Amino acid sequence: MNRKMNKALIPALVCAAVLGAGSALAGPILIGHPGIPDNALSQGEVQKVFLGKTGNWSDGSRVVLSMLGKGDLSDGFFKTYVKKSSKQFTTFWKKAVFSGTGEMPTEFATEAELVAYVASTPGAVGYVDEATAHDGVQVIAIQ
Amino acid sequence: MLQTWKRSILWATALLVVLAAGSVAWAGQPVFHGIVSQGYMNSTEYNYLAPTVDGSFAFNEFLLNVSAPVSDNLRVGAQLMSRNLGSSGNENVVLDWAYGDYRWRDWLGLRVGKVKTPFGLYNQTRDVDMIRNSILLPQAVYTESMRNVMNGFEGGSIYGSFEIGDANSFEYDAFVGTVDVERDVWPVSELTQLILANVYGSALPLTGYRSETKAVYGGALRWNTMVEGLRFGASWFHGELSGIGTFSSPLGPIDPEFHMDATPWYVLSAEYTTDRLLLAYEFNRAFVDMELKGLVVPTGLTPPLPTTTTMDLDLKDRRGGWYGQAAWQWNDTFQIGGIFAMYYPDYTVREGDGFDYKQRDIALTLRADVTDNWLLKIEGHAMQGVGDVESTLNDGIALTEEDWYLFIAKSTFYF
Repeated sequence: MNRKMNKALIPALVCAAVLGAGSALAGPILIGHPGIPDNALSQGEVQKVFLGKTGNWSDGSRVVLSMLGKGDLSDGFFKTYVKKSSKQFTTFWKKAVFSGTGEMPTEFATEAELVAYVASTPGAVGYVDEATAHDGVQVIAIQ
Repeated sequence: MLQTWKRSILWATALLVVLAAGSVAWAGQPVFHGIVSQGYMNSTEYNYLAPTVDGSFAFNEFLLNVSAPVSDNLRVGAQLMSRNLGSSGNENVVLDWAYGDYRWRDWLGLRVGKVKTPFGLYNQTRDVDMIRNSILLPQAVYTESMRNVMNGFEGGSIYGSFEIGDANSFEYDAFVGTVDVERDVWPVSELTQLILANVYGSALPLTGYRSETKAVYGGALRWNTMVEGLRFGASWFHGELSGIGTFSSPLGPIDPEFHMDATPWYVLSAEYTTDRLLLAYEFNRAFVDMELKGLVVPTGLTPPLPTTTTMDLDLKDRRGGWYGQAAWQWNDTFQIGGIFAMYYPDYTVREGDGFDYKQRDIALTLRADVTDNWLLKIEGHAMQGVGDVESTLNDGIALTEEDWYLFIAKSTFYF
């Protein structure tokens, strides 16, 4: 009886652990300045935006990139949507900076700072954890 | 007149950059980045790139750049550089690049000013130590002796990217301009002194030179394939230099005309990257024709010479090489790598009595990112052959040893 109960509890505990972890770090979402006309992007478009291949939004305004410092959120975002490790992403932009072909994304230490920057900078785009308060910005859906 | 016009464009661009740096009303704030690096080289048998047999610290770089967006489509920027590698650079501060970049669409942009030459995977970042695993770029393709012509140009380029299908994208550059060639580096001094050495039995001191034609143009195409991380590239370069060199000879100054035509000069590239692995391969060919006209030939010198008073010399340079490189990101701090490179001063010659028809380089590299702004690198090279060993750096040293070794260490700070 006890053994049966233990077996039944294991999946429930695993689910609870997963859900618990999920509420601590729900995963990255893409946020942008409210004036950006593009409210949904494909993964490939996100990749092009964050690698500087797309320099302007659909209304012609300039894309302004922002990013968070080292951490699981950056690692996850770059790996999933930009198809690079955080280190490769930084190296990619350093290469552009010192050859004069691009500008490094503005880096922030905290998500709150990044949200405030995106909210106040026309054309700005960045990413934060879904659970982080993101008033004043629009969420850009990744399709 | 042409020179004045080019300088005006260059300095106007630099002025725009300064204005951008001082402006808060434009589309964004100016951003500064910099690099300071210091290296050490030591080799057995031969001096390579610097006086390395005795150990040399004459290996450093300093870069400082600023860029700022002027509008949604226009960005300006400039980079100052000081470098030293043996007798090259001498720590003079020069404008590495400075231009206005107007990006009309993703598929068409225009850069005007002093621009880094797009050639191969790494030519535009050859002085940016922190973006690669190795210290020394594979000399089989990125030979330092050609740096003076290849590093950058004053002129304009168009660039862009476009897609074919859902997963293939292409990037292109096309450029035209002129190069600013220092008098004391290749090809001006090397070319003329090499030829003069063949005539007079020894190199003569170059006391001056005047460059008359120095046009470059070319392009690059890169294909980012549907396989994530796999890309191929092809770059092409044409360079033309003409001028008059003045040399001090035992019978007084002589001033032959020289002309160099590098056409074509190309590199084919392949690169594959994952989050931890880098594989790269590049293949290079250079067809360089050089001639020296109106060379006054004095009599009575050794070796004996014809009694003609002037002669013309032609030299056809068919250099080429390739390399394969692998690097593995061990953890957040350490990256290890290896390079196998072959260089041929004349790729039509694959064997010879001496060791100067080739240079094989097998290198092991280690990079340590100590902090987010500081890295250390060490690497060892096992060389075979002396095809890329400069005779001018090895006066009095017989090139009789086939195998020799090079050790390099470097520390780089960046922000």
